[in-house]
Amino acid sequence: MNSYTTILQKIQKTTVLFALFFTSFSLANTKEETKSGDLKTEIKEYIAHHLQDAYDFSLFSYTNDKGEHVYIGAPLPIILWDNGLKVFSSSKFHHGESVAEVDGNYYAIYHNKIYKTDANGTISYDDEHHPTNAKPLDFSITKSVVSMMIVVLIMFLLFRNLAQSYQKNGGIATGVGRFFEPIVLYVRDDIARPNIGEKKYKKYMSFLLTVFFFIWFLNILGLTPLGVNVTGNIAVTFGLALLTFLITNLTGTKDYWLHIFDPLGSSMAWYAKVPLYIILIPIEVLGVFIKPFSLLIRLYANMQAGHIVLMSLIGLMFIFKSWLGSPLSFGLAFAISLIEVLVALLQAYIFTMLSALYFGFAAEEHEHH
Amino acid sequence: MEIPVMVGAGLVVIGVGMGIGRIGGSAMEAIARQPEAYGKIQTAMLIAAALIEGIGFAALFAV
Amino acid sequence: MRLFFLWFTLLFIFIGAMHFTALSLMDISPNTVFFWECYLGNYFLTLLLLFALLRAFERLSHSIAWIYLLASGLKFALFFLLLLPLFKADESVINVERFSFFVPYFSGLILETGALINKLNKL
Repeated sequence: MNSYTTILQKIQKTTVLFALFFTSFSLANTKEETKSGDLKTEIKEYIAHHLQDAYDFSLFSYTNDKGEHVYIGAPLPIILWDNGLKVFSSSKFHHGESVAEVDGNYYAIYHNKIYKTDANGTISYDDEHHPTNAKPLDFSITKSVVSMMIVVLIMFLLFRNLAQSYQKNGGIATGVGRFFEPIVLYVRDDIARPNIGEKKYKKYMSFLLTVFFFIWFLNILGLTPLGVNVTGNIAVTFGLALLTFLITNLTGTKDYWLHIFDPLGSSMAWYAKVPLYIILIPIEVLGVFIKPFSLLIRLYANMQAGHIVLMSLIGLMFIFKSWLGSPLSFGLAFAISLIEVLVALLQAYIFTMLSALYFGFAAEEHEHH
Repeated sequence: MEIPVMVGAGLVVIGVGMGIGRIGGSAMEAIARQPEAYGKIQTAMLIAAALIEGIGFAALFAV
Repeated sequence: MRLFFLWFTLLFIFIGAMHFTALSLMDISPNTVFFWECYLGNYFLTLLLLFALLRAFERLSHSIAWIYLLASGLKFALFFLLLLPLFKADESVINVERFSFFVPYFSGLILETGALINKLNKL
C-alpha cells in the first residue's frame, strides 16, 4: 500500500511537470497571436536568446491580462569586479528591462553583457554601433554555470555511490550501476585501450571518463525543457579542448616531439632535410593547435546546430497556423529530438575518442634499435 | 548575406554529404563482408565521419 | 656545446652581413629600419633561449620541446610588443622594416629548431 502511494505521488509530480511544460507552450502561443506583426523576427530573436547564456534561470514567461510580462524562474547571483567586489541578485535587472543600482553605481544589460551606465541606463555607441560604455569584470554565476554545477554534483554523488556500492557488494554492480558499468567498461576497453596502449592507458582514464560523462550529461540536459545550452557555448567547449591540449602536450614523450620536429628521422642527411623542414615543421606545429581546435568547434557546432534546428521546427508551428502545420511541426520536432538524443551520446563519444587518439599520439614510444 | 558565399557553403555541404555517405556505405559493405569486425569498423567510420563533419561546420559558420 | 654557440654566432654574423650589404646596395641607412636593434635583440634572446633549453635538457628532459614552443612564442610576443611601436612611430610599417625583423627572427628560429632536434635525438 505504501509503495503504491509513493508511485502515485511520483506520477502526480511528473504530471504537474508535464502540465507546466505544455502550458508554457500554450501561453507562448497566445502571446504570439496578440502581436503577429513580425512573427518571423520574433521567432528568430527567441532562438537567438535561447542559444545565449542568461543571468537568470527563467523557465518561461507570458504576458498577463494587464499587459505585464510575468517570468517564471529564479534569479541568480551576479558577481562583478568594478573597483571592489559587487555581489547582487539578478532580479535587480528585472530581466534586462531596468537598470540595477549598487553602491551608487548603475549597471545595465545590453545584448546579454553587463555595462556600466548612468541612472537612466544610457548606452553610447561608436561608429560601428558597438557600445563604448565601461565593462566591469564579470564573474557572475550564470545559467550555464548553474547547470554545470548541477551536473558536477550529480556526477560526484552518482559515481561516489557507485564506488561505495562496489565495496559493499564485493565488486558486483547493483541498481543503477548495472547501467553505468558497461559504459565505463566500454570507455576503458574500446576507447582508451586500443588508442593509448596497454601500458599507459590508466594514466588517462580519469580524464576520459570524466569528460565523457560530463559532456553526455550536459548534452542530455540541453534537450530537457529547462532550456540550457551549455555544450553549445563556445567558452565551455574551449575549456574542455584546452584540457585535452594541455594533457596531450604535457605528457608528450620524446617520440611525440620528434615526430613533430624531426618527422623524417635519420632517413636523410641534414642538408636534404632543411628545405623540407621549412614547410613540414610549421605544418606539424600548427597541427598541435588545430587538433584541439577542431575538437572544440565540432562539439560547439553540433550542439548549436541541433538546438537551432529543433527550435526552428517548433517555431514552424506558429508560422503555419493551420491544421496541417502543427502536426507536421510536432512530428518533425519529435523525430529530430530522437536524433538529438543519439547525437548527444555520439558527440560525447567522439570527443572522448579523439582525445584518447591524441593522448595515444602523445604517449607512443617507438622501439629503439 | 552575399549570394556567392551561400552558394559556396552549399557546395561544401554537398561535398561533405557525399563524403560521409561514401564512408557510411563503405562501412556497411565492410560489415557485411566481415560481421565479426563490426566494432572496429564502426569506430573507424565514426572518426572519419567526425573529421569530415568539421569541414561542413566550418563552411556553415562562414555564412 | 660551446662549438654550437660558436657556429651559431658565426652564422648570425654571416646572415647579418648579407642583410647589411643588401641594405647598403639599396641605399637605405640601417638605422632607419632598426637594423641593429633587431639583430642584437634577436641574438641575445636566442642565446638566452638556447641556454634555457640546455638547462631544461639536463633537468626536465621530457618537456624540452614544450619549453621550446613556449619560449619561441614568448620571444615573438616580446618583439611584437617592443618593436611594433618603434616601427609604427613614423606612421607606417614598410617592407624593409619587416625584413629587418623577420630575417634575424627566422634565422634564430631555424637554429633553435636545429638545436632542439639534435637534443631530442640524444634523449
